[in-house]
Amino acid sequence: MPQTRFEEEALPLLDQLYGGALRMTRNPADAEDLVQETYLKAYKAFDSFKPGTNLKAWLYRIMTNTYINAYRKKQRQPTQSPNEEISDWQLYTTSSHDSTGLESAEVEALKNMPDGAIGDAMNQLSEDYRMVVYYADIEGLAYKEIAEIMDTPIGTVMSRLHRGRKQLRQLLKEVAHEQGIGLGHPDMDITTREASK
Amino acid sequence: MTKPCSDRCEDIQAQLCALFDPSITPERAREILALVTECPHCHGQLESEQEIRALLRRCCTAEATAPAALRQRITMEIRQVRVTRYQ
Repeated sequence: MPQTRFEEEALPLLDQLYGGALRMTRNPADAEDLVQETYLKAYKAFDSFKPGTNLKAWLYRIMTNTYINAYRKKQRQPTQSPNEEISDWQLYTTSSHDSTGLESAEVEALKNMPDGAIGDAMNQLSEDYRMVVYYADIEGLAYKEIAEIMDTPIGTVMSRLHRGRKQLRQLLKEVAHEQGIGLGHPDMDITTREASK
Repeated sequence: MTKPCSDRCEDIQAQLCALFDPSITPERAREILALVTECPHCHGQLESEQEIRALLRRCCTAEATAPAALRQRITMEIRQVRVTRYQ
């Protein structure tokens, strides 16, 4: 019976969906409501799920639609819109570093950071960038599946992914530097780096 | 981090994005990896990307444990729907 299969197959994905909802809403109470509504809708629509396709991606698609229809309207998040504009302007102006990658000393510093600091950096990305990075880099979904979840062409997924990853790495660099970790390491000494250019 | 060698590096960077798509074919992945290993800058970038991805995954999954009460609510709700629908 398909409804029993739903419990067997969809319920084990609950932690992952909750993690995605937490990333989407950035707030545990909304994340719980969103996941609960998503599972109920998915259960009722389970007949339309094609066996053999990715169930997690299917659930994420339902969750995204649910979020757009209900929660995004409800939420009051003044921080949301200015973030849309962080974009490349800030990337080029706030840092003298090469913004395409992290130095090994920075990566090492980040490994010692509490998990929350990195999650906070993720949360600073605008919603579209944050979710595309989440689906690709944390959930490991194929770009084509992400395109279906977000209902966008695959080219949009790729460009959001490129920009989102770039912004996130810039934010992570700042996190590493704010902590002062890694300072004094040759890689991190801006004055010598600038002088050697 | 080593400096990019040439414009060729930029091409390779663009291909790194394709490398992280799990639906990439093994042949294509091998082609890209062969290019990447030829250049220390690109290789360094790939390693840094892999480490950051691992780090992100660790952090985001650490936070993501659905509360037991939520699991219970969902299970009950589903069973309720089943009862009203199919009995």
